[in-house]
Amino acid sequence: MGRRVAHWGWNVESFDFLRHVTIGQYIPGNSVLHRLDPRAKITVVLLLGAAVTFNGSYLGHLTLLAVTLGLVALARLPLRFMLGGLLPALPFIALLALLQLFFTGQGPTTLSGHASVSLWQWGWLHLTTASVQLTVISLARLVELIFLVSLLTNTTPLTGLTHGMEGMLRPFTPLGLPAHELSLIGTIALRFVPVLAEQLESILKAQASRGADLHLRGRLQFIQATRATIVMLVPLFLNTLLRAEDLALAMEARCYLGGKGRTHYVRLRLRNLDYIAIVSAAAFTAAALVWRNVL
Amino acid sequence: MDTRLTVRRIVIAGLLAAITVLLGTTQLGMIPVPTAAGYATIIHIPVIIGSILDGWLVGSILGFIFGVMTFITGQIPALKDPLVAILPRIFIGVTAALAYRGLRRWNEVGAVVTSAVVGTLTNTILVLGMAVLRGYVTLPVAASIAVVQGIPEAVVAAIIVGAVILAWKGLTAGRRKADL
Amino acid sequence: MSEPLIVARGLEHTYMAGSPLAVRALNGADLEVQRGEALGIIGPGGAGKSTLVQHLNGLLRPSRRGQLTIDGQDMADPRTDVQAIRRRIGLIFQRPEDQLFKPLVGDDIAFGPRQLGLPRPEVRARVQRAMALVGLDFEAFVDRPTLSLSGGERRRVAIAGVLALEPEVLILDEATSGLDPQGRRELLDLLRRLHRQEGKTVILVASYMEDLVDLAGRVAVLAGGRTVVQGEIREVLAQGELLQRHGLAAPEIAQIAEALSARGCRLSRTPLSVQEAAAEIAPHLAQHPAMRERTVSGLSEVGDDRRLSNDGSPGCALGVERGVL
Repeated sequence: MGRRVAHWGWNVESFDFLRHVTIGQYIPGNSVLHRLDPRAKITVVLLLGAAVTFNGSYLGHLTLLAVTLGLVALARLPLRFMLGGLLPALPFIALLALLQLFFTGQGPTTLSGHASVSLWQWGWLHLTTASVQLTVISLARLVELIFLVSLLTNTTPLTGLTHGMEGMLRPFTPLGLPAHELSLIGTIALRFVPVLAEQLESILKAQASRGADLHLRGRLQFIQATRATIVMLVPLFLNTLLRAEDLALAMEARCYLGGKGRTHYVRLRLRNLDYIAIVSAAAFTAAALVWRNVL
Repeated sequence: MDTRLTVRRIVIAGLLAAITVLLGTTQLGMIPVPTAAGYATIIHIPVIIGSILDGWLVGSILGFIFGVMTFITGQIPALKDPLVAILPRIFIGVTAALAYRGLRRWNEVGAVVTSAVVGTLTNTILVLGMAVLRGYVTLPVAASIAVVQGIPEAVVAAIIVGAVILAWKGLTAGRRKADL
Repeated sequence: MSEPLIVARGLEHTYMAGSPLAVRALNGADLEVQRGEALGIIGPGGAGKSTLVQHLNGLLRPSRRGQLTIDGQDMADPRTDVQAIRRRIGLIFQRPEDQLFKPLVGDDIAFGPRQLGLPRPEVRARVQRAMALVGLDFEAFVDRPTLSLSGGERRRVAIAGVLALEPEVLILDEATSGLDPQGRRELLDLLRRLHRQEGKTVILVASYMEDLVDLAGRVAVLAGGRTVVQGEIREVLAQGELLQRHGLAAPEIAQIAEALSARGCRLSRTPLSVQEAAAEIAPHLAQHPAMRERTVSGLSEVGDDRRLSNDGSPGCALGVERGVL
């Protein structure tokens, strides 16, 4: 996922950072997963995501970890790349894990419904099988979800994703869900991220050129940062709102009348591979949910 | 009225979503604050702005996108749970829009500021609340985070949302003339 | 001549260095700017002009291999006070109206002077002077909401915002883009005033040679990230072939002069405007008996009542008649 440029050293004067904005980091390839229809992929990820979220057992997550790792291998994605984003967050994760381990043991049952056994207690700290399970399962879920989301975004170009989402939501349109409009919002957003990034760079440079102080030093960083943010973001928002009016006008001038009866130039077609993927994922998820409390 | 997704609303939602993405994937989404966490988030600001200008539906959609961004970039267990990362955020738009609409007749500037504060607090309280429900943090810890993070975030949001909306509508907080 | 104000040698700059998307914008650019001069920088798209001028106010710093001195200050030195440089060297970007952020016009223009920490009366005076320079009536515009102005007016507000810093040097990066012909003319008039009456050093980055002709004394041509030639404007414009090789075209007038020259009619100097060209060609035309009268009336039409001398060549007059006119 889009790498966050260093949190620390909040110093906006190195203007290049805006050119590094990417979402999802699509990595071109020809693996089985790359070739799946985006709708199939989204369905698979949603199903497996449900399995991950609602299964609370050790055995379940052992299997899920294996499955997601297998999918990552199938997609030929480098493991290091996938877990790379975790590195800066490790201390934070460790801290939270410790908190979970020692402070959430009060409940009578573990995540998988078994009785919780107290392992160690000292004052406020209380280590139980419940808290251990919660911590371990939370970590497992973290890794599995990172893999699942990456599987989706690394193997599918963003336009494919919005197209797939629209396709999947379209059946709900008669029920009032504006599938086309939602997908259009997504498409516009993706399309304009680089444009706005460029505009932001230009705004930053212009403001710096007329004396705005974008450096942060000393104790009152909070105030300086807020001022700097206003000088940067207010023009960005204003220009964006102005641009919105122009864009809407342009769309209407091209006879955009909404989604009714619209068809796509590129058609998505489900093939055997897609059906196999969906069915397998559904079966697996069903099993994971039925047996969510085994161990 | 607020439920029609006109071309203009689609476009505004899309563009504000683009800003959300920008804020979420660069260091601009966080402002350093003198609290334990060190940073206050401002990624929810486009959501509030969208809610004020175009109603709760646009706000909810933007809140959803904000949630998805958090979900995708999240590296801690709590944020990788869609019920914590995505669901609560849909309500930011609703509360912010309601607050603005409700108070607009009284005082435009006050309505904007209140809306920003309400929206931010919705974000903080609902997200942390869900995190507690799902067992990621205990209630006392969550409560302290809410206060320590929530207050600076609400203040910052009020200032920035205020600056944008006031400039957009050509208003100034009280003054009709330039301060010269 | 005194020391040049700005000296740049071999500037290099790569955007996103180290990533697969790295772009080498500057590859050995040189520049010399004299105090008080008006300098043009011209080059095809992507030549590195913007990147070059962004070095001149410290937005970008010289990399290891380049050198940049501004008024004796080495810009590669990390201790350089960049804010002080930016107070003296103002840079106006391509769509300056994008930088506006205050609700009211007066406040936005006052932003720069306020950042400098100037006292209230001085801030007000600067705003008034700046607005006068760009042609915005103070009373009429100072309290208007920024976004209620037209695009052209907003651009003027943005420019006033930089002028309010009262910099010694003003750099404009393609500032005429998006303006209608009247707007362009007004902006170029403003630059002329700033240069001739206010004595400012003006650097204009342009895509059209025509923007430079009644303003720049010297011109630097940039192409492929390198400075191809730097010199007096007439000398540079006369090198039509060199310009063409780098994707630039000399103004039409200079092209006509070159075409005439190729046909044996050398003008004493490269004309920069229609008036000049008319004055240069006229004596030659006058040699042709049939043309003399037409020449006299033609000249007075273009507003030149110079007397015709007899130092033209008949052959040239003939060539003009047949080939060009």
